[in-house]
Amino acid sequence: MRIGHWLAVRLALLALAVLAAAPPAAAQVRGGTLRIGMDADNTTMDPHRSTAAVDRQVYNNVYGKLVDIDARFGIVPQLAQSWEIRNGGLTYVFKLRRGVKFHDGTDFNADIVKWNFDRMRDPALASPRRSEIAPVKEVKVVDPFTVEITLTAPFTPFLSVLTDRAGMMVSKAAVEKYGDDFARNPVGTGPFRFVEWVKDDHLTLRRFEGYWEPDRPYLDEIIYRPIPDASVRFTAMRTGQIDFMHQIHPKDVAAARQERGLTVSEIPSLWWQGIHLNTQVAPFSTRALRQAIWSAVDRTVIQRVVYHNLGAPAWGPFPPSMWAQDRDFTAWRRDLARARAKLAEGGMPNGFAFTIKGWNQPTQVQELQIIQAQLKEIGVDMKIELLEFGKLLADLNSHNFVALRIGWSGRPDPDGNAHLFLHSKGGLNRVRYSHPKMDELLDRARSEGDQEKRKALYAEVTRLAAEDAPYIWLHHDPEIKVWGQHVKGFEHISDGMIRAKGIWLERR
Amino acid sequence: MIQFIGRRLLATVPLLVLVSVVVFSFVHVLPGDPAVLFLGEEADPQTLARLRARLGFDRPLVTQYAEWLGRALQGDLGRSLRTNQPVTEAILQRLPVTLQLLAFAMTISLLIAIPLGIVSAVRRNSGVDLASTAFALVGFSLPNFWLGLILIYVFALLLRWLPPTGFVPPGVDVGESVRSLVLPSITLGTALAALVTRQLRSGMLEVLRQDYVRTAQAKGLSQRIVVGKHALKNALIAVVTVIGLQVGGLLGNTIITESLFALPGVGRLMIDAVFARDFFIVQGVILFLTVGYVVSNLIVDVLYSVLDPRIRLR
Repeated sequence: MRIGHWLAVRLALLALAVLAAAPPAAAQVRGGTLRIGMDADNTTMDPHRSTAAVDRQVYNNVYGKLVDIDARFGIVPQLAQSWEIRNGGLTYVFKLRRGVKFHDGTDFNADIVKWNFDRMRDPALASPRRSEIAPVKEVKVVDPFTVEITLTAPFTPFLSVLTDRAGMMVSKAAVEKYGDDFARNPVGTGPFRFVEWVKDDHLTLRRFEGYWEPDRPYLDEIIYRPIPDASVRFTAMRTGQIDFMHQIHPKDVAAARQERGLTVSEIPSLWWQGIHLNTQVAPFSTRALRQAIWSAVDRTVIQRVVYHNLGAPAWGPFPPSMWAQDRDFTAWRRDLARARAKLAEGGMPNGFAFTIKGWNQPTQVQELQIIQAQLKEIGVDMKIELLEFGKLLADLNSHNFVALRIGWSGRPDPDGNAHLFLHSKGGLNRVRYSHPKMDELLDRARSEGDQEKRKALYAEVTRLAAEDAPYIWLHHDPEIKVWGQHVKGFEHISDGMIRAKGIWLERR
Repeated sequence: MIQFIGRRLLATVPLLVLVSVVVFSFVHVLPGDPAVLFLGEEADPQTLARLRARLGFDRPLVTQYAEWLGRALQGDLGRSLRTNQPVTEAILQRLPVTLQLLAFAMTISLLIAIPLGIVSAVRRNSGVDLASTAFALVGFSLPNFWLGLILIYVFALLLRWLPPTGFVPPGVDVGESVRSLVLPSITLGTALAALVTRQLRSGMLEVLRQDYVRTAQAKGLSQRIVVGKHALKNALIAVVTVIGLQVGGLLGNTIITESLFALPGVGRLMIDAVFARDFFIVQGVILFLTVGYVVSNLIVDVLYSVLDPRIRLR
């Protein structure tokens, strides 16, 4: 895809420009409060019970994780200093960092790691992490600072899963002390400790003096403020009520770039947006009709109108941020002749009608209306049914749809963007798509350790998915952050997390 | 009077039970499974079933309702499904914000509406009257989220006079607390001001035509005493009725206002809980708001007898 490629280059250059603009490390100053404007409030402070993406922002500063990712999706040490993968990918041996303390003064060690895994796997807790670490068969304490984790089958994305909430270590003492109230009394090993949470108003963290990394963090305090309306949040940023802004509306990006004193950073995210086509019910049980939709939708118009040229059009599950994206994949563009031919092939030469379910949210509605107009050109009449998000999810999960528009926040490992949706046993394969070749490709990519070989497999996955079209991928969202120019040292990664231990404030 | 209040409060009990039944069943027939919203899209069926069991959602609705009601009668409205915070605590934590917002909105709207209503009735068809009619029409028709956005744009962004978001408790800084509520109060109060202006104007016009007003004028009383003492008090009955009825509407609009200005009030608690299907919070807040509405209507009834001694409370 030429346009996608060009965009990726442009985004990479932008990211470089932002990095280059950072001042030399010597100037770092200690102290100060960073006020961050969020799009939503946290739902719980217990990472083993969280399902809201927004929660992870605070967690990344309160909790230590076994491993983390860097800007290039490389796995880097955090609470695990090193690791070894043995037995053809079946066994992971983690060497833990010594001298790490929780905020409550208790020690971090191998027993604690095992206890954390046991907690996530305990059916009684009903943890959403349970399915993420489903490949784990056994967690063994080898010595106080060595843990051995055995998997049921080789699972290459395992380390990448541990860079998120499943790898976050919580204090056993605190969980025992607070019980269910741990959700409001979090204790981790991260650079900041929890101070208070007045729901819907603010959440305050303060520097943890006992943090294991010397001289970090720089900030004294972080205050998170949920401001749900995007334009009001941007006003708060412009008037200096907040120093850092999460989630800006695409229409405000140009204004943010004009504003003096603000830094805007845009990089590709891990997201994809798309339409689910139910492959088990008419009309989309007919492959040719899915292909007709695939060819009739013009992603570049959506990119321009809805997203103000931010992000990238999507032709598969892997965004430009991922090594798995096939940059040479140019086979699919809007092709009305092919769309009409496919309609005829599917026995509907004059078009057909169907209803799509979507989330009642302005940008998504706008996007659906554009698609509606585009499909009209080949005689397909798409009716739009708008739903509240909870109802939309319920209909998705119960396969109660012909077509449904919803996005996926993405995972650092490509497996998390594809296997769930395209494998016949994938946990989110609500379209009930099944193709033996696809299953084989995804399974091989999941157990393959070599990235080049995986890349080739994912290229095949992308092509086969485009050919079968169970999903009409539309767009890869941009990951945009805005901050005041006095805020220094933030490293912008595609997962969008605000890791605050390296951030410092210039004296004004 | 006390007997009247006591009886009225007693009469609200069946109403509250009815409301609780409606709310409870409404919340539970809402499409969207809380277990799915909690565990995310990837959850396997066994884990979902366990969570439903842990939350007690696998039992018959009648059992769930009876248990909830039993606890509610002892003042325990349950706990948030997400944070485990007691519902009463969550409501009480946010109540001061909402009450302060309502009080400010009410004050601002009356400060605008009463003088405007009186003047436009006394100086009927004058320039002031025309302006007040225009204000009432525009003020009542403006959607309040839009008004809020415009106010933020003008007063927070362009002029930088007032903060765009947030709430400062009066205990921290009284001045900042007032400043933080000016824009939200105007946003919330404008529609009420418009309505009260119109109501007062027509009420005053009617009263001013009455014989006793003419008599008062004939006795040579000053215009100030005639209007301020004789006419206004009688015209206010209709105004009090309108305000009493509008409290419910104001409470509903706090949801929008509090979300827009990022205020940690009861309205925002409610809307977040609805989207998250945090059932006990939703039930608790609705029950609470119902009580608030009933009490405000009671106050209106009592005010009637103060304004017009002919109305006896029985």
